[in-house]
Amino acid sequence: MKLLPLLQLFLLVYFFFVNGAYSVLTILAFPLVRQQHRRSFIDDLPGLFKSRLAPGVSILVPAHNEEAAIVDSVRSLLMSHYPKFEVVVVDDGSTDATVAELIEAFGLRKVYRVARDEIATAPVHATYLSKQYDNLVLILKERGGKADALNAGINAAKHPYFFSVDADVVLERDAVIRAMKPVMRDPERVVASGGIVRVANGCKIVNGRMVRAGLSPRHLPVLQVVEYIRAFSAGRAGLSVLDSLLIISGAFGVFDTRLARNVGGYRLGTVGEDMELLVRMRRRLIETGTKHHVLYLAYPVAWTEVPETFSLLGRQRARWQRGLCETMWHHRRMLFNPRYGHIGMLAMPFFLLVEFVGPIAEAAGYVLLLWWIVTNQVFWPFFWWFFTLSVLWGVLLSFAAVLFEDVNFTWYRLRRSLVRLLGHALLENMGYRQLTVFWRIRGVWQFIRGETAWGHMEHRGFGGSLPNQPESDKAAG
Amino acid sequence: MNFAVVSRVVVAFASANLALVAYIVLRRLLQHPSDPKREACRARYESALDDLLAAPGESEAASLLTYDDDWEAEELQGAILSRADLLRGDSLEIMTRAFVDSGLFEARVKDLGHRRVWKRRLAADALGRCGSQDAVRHLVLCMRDNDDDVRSIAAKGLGKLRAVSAIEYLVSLFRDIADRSCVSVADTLISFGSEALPALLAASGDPGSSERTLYWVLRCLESVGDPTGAVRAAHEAGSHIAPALSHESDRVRAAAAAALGRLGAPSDLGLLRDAFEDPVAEVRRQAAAASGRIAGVDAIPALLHLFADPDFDVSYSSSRALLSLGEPAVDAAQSLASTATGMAYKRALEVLDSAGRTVAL
Repeated sequence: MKLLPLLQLFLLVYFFFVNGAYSVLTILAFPLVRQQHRRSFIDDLPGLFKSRLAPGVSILVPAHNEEAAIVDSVRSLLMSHYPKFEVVVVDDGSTDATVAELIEAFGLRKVYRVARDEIATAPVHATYLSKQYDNLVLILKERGGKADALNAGINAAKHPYFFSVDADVVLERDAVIRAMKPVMRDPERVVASGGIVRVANGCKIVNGRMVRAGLSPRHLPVLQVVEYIRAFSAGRAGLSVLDSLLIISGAFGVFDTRLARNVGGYRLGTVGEDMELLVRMRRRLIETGTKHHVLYLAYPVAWTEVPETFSLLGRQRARWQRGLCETMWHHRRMLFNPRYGHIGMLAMPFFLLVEFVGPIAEAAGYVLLLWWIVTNQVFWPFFWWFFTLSVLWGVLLSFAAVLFEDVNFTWYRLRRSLVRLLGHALLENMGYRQLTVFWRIRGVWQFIRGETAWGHMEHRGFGGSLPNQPESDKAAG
Repeated sequence: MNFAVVSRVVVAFASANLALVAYIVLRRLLQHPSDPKREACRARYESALDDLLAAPGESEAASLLTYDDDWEAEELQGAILSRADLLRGDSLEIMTRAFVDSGLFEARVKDLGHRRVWKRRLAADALGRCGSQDAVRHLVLCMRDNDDDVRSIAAKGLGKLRAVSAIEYLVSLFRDIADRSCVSVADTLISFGSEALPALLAASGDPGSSERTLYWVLRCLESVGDPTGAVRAAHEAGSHIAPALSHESDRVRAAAAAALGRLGAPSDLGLLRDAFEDPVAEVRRQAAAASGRIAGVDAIPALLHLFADPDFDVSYSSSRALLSLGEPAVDAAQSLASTATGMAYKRALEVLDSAGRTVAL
């Protein structure tokens, strides 16, 4: 039977290809992160805050049944450190007291406002403005899902750039101004930028502000901290160096409002709407021959709560993978298409061959190994050789990302936090990694079956308890 | 392939990786920023600086502001500059003196010639923040640096030091520097306020100005405005800005309309007529906002006309401009609401609702 040796060869070549790709990204990422870190010393944030040339930003907050957290969240956003911004809360058909809480807390009153209808959305019923804050807008609309709510927000936004921020995300005080800095420097070309998203579990958050970064006492969130650091500080930074960034997290990303309107806003009926929007924007710009940049920023930080149980984490990872599949499918014409330059020939193939095929190939490897063990065909010296190499390579990449980020940013000031992170970077190969492979394959299966449901996630909340709510795509990849 | 050889290579690779990781981990743990030595050093400097601020003549406090190692210099500079950013007057002078007397000023001037660009950037930043007027000539020289960031940091420093003599030089920089550095230079010019107006107006009316210079100069003019009212009173802006309103670049035309809105006199409304009909929506939008600002009630007909503009932002901008013109404008909107249809009708209703008048929706 010749199929098995062929599969064996493919998996071996694929192993080197994937790890080689991640290694290259990590190596490329380091100078970028280092440069941005050094630049942060000379960032004149007070000067930027006073700048009259700063472009305006609309902060969009889609909300559905968020009565427990919405007032604190909006209050925190209204304190954002930026010279010109508005907060647009889009109530997506809440059935609880979300709207009443907002009206009471901010003295909102119903106004007549001509609605922009460039992007079709579920019907908008009313617009409210605040008596206390002239930069707060509340839009009431029929239930249409998160993407639809964001589209209503994009329609209502009056500024040239918009942020999409989840209602349960905590932003660093200077996050907005730092994220807008590259836009201010090159407004003609920068069409989107995204910051790093960090894990909030275990951190001390008071009144919507991060007071002290820390690690959760539980293992699952710490494993995710390692993953987030690797995904952002190495993966996305590396892709940004290659100008191949295709994901800006929904939890924290800035986009060009006009361009988002021109391409029709977020696509409905997809779970990876953030990635899909960015790919569509880049596709449009390439098709019209417009030079542009999408930037990863190492410093602006959004803190988000991650799942603490395997079942919730499994659902989240399956959904992320499904979102990736949907985007690749919608834009399959870009794949290996020289017309789309490095996006078609490098970025899209990377996501297909590494992020999409990755879990399938890894699972195939595990099945093959089982088969060899059952049929007593394992060549043990080779097995140990390969096992050692794969674990070491993975650990090295994780260690490199964790250490490099720690050298630069030192979020976790305690030495034992660093030791715990490194320990978990080692531990993740012993079962956790295999579980994520399983969940991601489940996501592919859900995509093939055409599932569109979001599922639910329980947020414990930063200050109290939050109700069940649909979870957003915070940090795909 | 000889498996033994491959195994040895893998073992060597693994060992090298492990050694590297162990080295980084150990080094990292030993040099953690929460290192008590550094923290104690910073606290010592901060305490000495506080003493110096409380009693400027105290030589004992000044004698503590010395350093032996680079990391100590970093801590001292950080302590001085973080205070200098917040202080004014005599207190700032004390910090400036501490920066100079401790030798940090000289060290940073020396760094401006360093081959590593990061050293030069940090040096320009420190000199711009230290408060010493002696830094001005060094920062002006920095403008010849081949790194855009060094130049824009130096420009910001000149603004912080209120180096008025450098204004014309800063205006001329728009011609030479990269686009991404222009915003820093523009922010610096804006920080000079009305002192920068003569140089900016001259550049806006200069037929030899490049497209980029014109755009940024006009944006500076719009942001500076006319705080003393002198430009408006002298009817000076129109003649300088008018040529830019017919420039081939749409961003220059839009910026010119916006600048005219901040500096123009009521008689300049006529200059905006072409801008109301401009094929580019952004130019029409800026013209709508500008006409409301400079012309008062005379702009009402033009603004009402723009209510029906096919571009949503233009019609929104004209309704906001109309609303700012007070009761006569709201009366005009009420009249329009009784006759108009489509977007013009909706905008009229929006104005009436915003003005607090009851409307039948």
